[in-house]
Parts: sequence; C-alpha cells; structure tokens
Amino acid sequence: MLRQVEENKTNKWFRLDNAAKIYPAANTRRWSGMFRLSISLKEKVNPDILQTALEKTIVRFPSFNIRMRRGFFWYYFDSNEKRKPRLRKDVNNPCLPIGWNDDEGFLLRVYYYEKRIAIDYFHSLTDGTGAMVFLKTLTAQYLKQMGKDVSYTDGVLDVTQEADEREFEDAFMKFADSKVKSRVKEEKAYHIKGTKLSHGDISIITGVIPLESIKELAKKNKATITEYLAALLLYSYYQEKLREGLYKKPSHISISIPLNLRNFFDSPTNRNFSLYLNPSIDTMMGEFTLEEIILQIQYFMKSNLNKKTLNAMMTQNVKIEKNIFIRIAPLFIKKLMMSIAHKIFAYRPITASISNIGIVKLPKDMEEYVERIEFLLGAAKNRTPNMAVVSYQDTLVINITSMIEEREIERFFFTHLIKEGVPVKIESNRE
Amino acid sequence: MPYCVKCGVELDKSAKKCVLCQTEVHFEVEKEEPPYPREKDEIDNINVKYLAFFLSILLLIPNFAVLVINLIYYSGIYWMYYVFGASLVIWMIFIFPMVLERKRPILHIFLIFLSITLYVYLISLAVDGLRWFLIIALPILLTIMILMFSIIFIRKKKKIGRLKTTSVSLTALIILCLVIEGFIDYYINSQIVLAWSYIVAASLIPIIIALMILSGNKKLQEDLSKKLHI
Repeated sequence: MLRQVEENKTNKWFRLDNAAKIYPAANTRRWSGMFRLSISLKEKVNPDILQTALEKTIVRFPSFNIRMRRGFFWYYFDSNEKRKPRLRKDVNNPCLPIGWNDDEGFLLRVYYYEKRIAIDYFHSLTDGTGAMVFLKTLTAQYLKQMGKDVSYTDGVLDVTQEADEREFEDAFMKFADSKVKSRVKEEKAYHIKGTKLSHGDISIITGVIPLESIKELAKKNKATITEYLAALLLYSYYQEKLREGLYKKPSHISISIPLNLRNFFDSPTNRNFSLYLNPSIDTMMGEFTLEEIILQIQYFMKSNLNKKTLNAMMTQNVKIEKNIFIRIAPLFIKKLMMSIAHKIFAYRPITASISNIGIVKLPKDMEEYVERIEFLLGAAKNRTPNMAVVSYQDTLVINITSMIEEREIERFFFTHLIKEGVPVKIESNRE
Repeated sequence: MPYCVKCGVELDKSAKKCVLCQTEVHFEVEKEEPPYPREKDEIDNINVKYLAFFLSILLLIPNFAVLVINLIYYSGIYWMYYVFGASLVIWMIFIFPMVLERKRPILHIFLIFLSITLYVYLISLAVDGLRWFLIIALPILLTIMILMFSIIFIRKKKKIGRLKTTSVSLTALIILCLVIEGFIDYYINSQIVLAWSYIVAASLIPIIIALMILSGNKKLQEDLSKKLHI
C-alpha cells in the first residue's frame, strides 16, 4: 500500500492515478475536466449547517482533502488539511474551469441553491462512483446535523471513522497486469459545428423522465437503458450528419461510454477507476436506422465488456505511465507534450460521450428527505453536446451540456422520446 | 403544468419559452424559482486588446532604438526606414487582427497590402529611389491588389465554379505580365515595346478559351473525365 500513500506522520501525499494524470496537463484557463453531482432535498438547504457538515466530511476523505502541487517530474496531491473548503451560492454556469490556487486549493466546489446541494469535481480527484460516495456522505452528515436519523449503508460513510486505506488505492496500478497491451485502432470521428457561447457560459438542458417508461422502451428494443440512450444520442448526431452528407469524411459517428471498472475488479477505491469504450457507426456504409445503431452498439459492448479485454486496455494505459523515458522527463516537458496530445487526440475518435451512473440507492431512512439526484458533465473541450444520466427511485434524469448556441441534438433527442411515448419534463439554465 | 405545443415536452413552471424550439409558452408563468440561479460566475480572460497594446509597445522599442542610433551614427543612409516598414507590416499581419471585434479577412488583406506599399515607399525614400517607386513598385502592387480583389469579387458574386475561376485567374495573370513589362520598359527606355508578355498571353489564351468552352459543356466534361480518369 506504500505506493499509494506515502506517509510520514503529519503529511500525506498521493500520486495521481493513471486516469487522473491527463486532466492537470489538459487544464487551461478556459477549460477543465469537470463534472457535477447534486442532490435536491425536500426542504431548503441551511448553508451554515451545510458548511460545518462539509468541514467534517472532507476530513473523512483523505484523497479529497488535498491540493494540486507540481513536483519535478509529476503533479501530485498534497494534503490540504490546514484549510477548509468554503460553501458557495450556486451559479448559472457550473463546472467552470479550476485553478490550483482557487477555493483554498481544493479540487472540488460545493454549492447550494434553494433545496439543492451540488458539488463540482475536478476529474483528477475521482470518477462518478467515488464522487457519489462523497456527496451521499456529505448529505447524510448534513441531515444528521439537522436532527435526522440516517444509517451508514448504501455508500454513506461515517465521518467519525478513520478512512480505510483501500478507499484511496490506485486501482489501475493494482489490477493492470495483462500480458497483452492493445487497444483497437479508432478512426477519426465526425464532429458537429456550432456557434460558440461566450466564454464561461454553459448550456444545460435537463430531461426528467419516469424510470419505468424508459425501461420499457429499452426493453422493447431489447437493449439496456445505457445502450438505448447511447444509440439515441448517436442517432441524434446522425441526423446532423445526414444533413451535411453521409459520404463525406470523417464518416465515423462514435459515442464514448465510460465503464465503472469496480463492476469487474474488486476495489472499494473512491478515486478514478473507469475506462471508456467507443462504439461507432460508419456512415460511409450507408443509411442507418435506430435499430441498427442499437445492434451495432450492443455487439461492440458485448465483445469488449469482459475482464480480459478491459485489463488489456488498462495495461496499455499504465504501460505509458511506467515508461522510463516518460517518467524521467521534467514536468514542464510532460505538461507541454500531454497538453498537445490532448488537443490533438482526446476528441479525435469520439463524437460525443454519454455517462450513466445507473440507479443510485440511498439508505432507507435517508430516502424520505431526498427528492432528486442529478449528474452533469462539464462541456467538452470541443464544445458539442455531452450527456450524463442518473436514476433515483422512479425518476431518470438526463443532462445534456454544451458550449454552443444550437440545440438541435437536444431537441431531436427529447422529441424522439416523446414520439416513443415517454413523457419528458425539460428544465434548463438557458432562456 | 405548461407543455410545449410544438415539442410535446413538459416545461418548468418558471419557463417563458420552450428551451428546445423557442416556442413561447401560452400559460401563466408562475412565480417559482428557476432551476438555476441567474447569477453567473466569471472566468478570468486575457484582455486581448490589452495584449495587443502591450505587444505594440514592445514592437516600438527596437524602432525607437534604431531611430536614435541612426540619427547619431548617420552615414549617408536612413536605414532606420527598413526597420520602420518591416515593423509596420508585422504589426498589420499579427497584431491588427487582435484589435478587431470579429474576423474581417478582406479588410485585413487590404491593409496588409497598404502597409507593404508603405514599406516599399520607405525603402525608396532611404535609397533615393522615388522614380523607381512611382514607375515600377506602385503600379505593380496596385495591379496585383486590384486583380486579386476582382477575382475574389467575381467568385463571390457570380458564384462561378473551379474551371471558370481558373480561367479568370489566368486572364489576371496575363494582365499582370503586360503591366509588369510595360512599366519596366518605360522605366528603362522611356517607351513601351512589349515582347515577352505577348508570349505569355499567346500561350495562355488558348487554355482560357478551352476552359471557358469546357465549363459551359457538361457532356464534354463527363466525356473527358471518362476518357482521362486516372
């Protein structure tokens, strides 16, 4: 375990895990890899109590209670125990870029608005699963301080307990041991064009959907909810491609789907532990129906979603990080190379991404205080719409974020659901 | 509950328009808190105009230094004009676009031409070559500029294809050659006797005619591409 936590008595520090390394390098003043999770309660949030709950909760999570530092060779997380995160009033444009010295150095920002508690996370810190544990624990702690009873089950942690070292292990390092290091070659993907919103603005369009009706629709198409939504998102982009010409290059429309590796490898880590699969269609082959796209995605997922293939993909990524020539390059050279690589390759093979956290379960006694859970991705660096999905109780919430004026993708996506008989309620931060 | 009559989606009670299709909601808007607050958080941007100003000052420093040096150690030639002109062209190419609110390529190209003309004028001042500037440099630069903008204008307004654009450009090339030879002749011999530019014209005119005929004949184009495809 020494590899993950280098500890002397007072000062903890962490190496960045494999997935976390790209984000500080790709970070600019105008874009950071951010995402947001939020819980809406049934009553207005009391900011003073939330502030003290936050101060107690952050101590329980050593891998969140940190700041970003530059070492000579790598970035690292240094303990930020001497400072306290400050609660903020929510804003119209969440997931703003982060600077290493903003917010007392913390890489997460906690907001409140009416009944909502929202946290913007920098992606180096954790992935959706780890972020959800933190948000659940914070909300439970808040409810406790409000005099409610909440039990420590379903991912809610006791803030008075010491953290288990496995909660902040670097699971990539632990599990990547494949002899095969390969990843399928990916073609250049089609991107839509759009009118830029002004700097710092973000377009959020939320669809609130009854879980049962979308489940039925997916079942009717013999697909899982994620497969169906991914296919429909791809189909929405396909409509744009249809207008621009199917047989024009780049002709691949590809959707990136993050996978929670905890489902395949046994790790309780609250840090990053996910990978991406990018199923695609090639419009050079001709016209596609939604049914064909669903099948295409299903076959791709089925042939790749297994421990062995995932391990090989993971090993490929870890191999790069372990390469001695990369390791001995000074940070400023690494940062330069990685930011260029990110600019060129990050969005090259993908048209858009869809991230589904799945159904979130809360302790029974906590459920009665929680109205809704939401998940949204910060807009992609290439500005085009991205989708984040989460379900809680009988509601599924879809958030589509972008940094462009046009709303064609969103409109096609949601009106298609309406045509299929799924009721959709739309909310937005825009006019 | 308000619904959008066009999309069929349910809308938030605070919504005045459907966010998907911009259709207005004909439903009494209830005074409810919107899903997100109005207040925005700012991100700090570099002030581009400030940067442009800063770079301009930076560019002025060597010019000023050169001015002083040239005036102190004057050896019969005002070589500082070379630096002034070059700085002007650099400023026009790189710094001027920063000042513009939106991209204006035609204006930008025009101004670059203007600054280059000024640069050449400064050189002619430095070497006492005003006659050379007036008879050779200025007419040729003017002709290039006029021809270039004519091509852009014709292409934009008439929406001509690739074949016609090529023939228009070749015509422009002939005119340019005539102008260059004419003015050089006048500069050297004080009279105009055209020679080599006729050869250019003679070899290009058949191509232009062929292209014009070809561009008007779809069937011929197809036949040619059938026979000559690689």
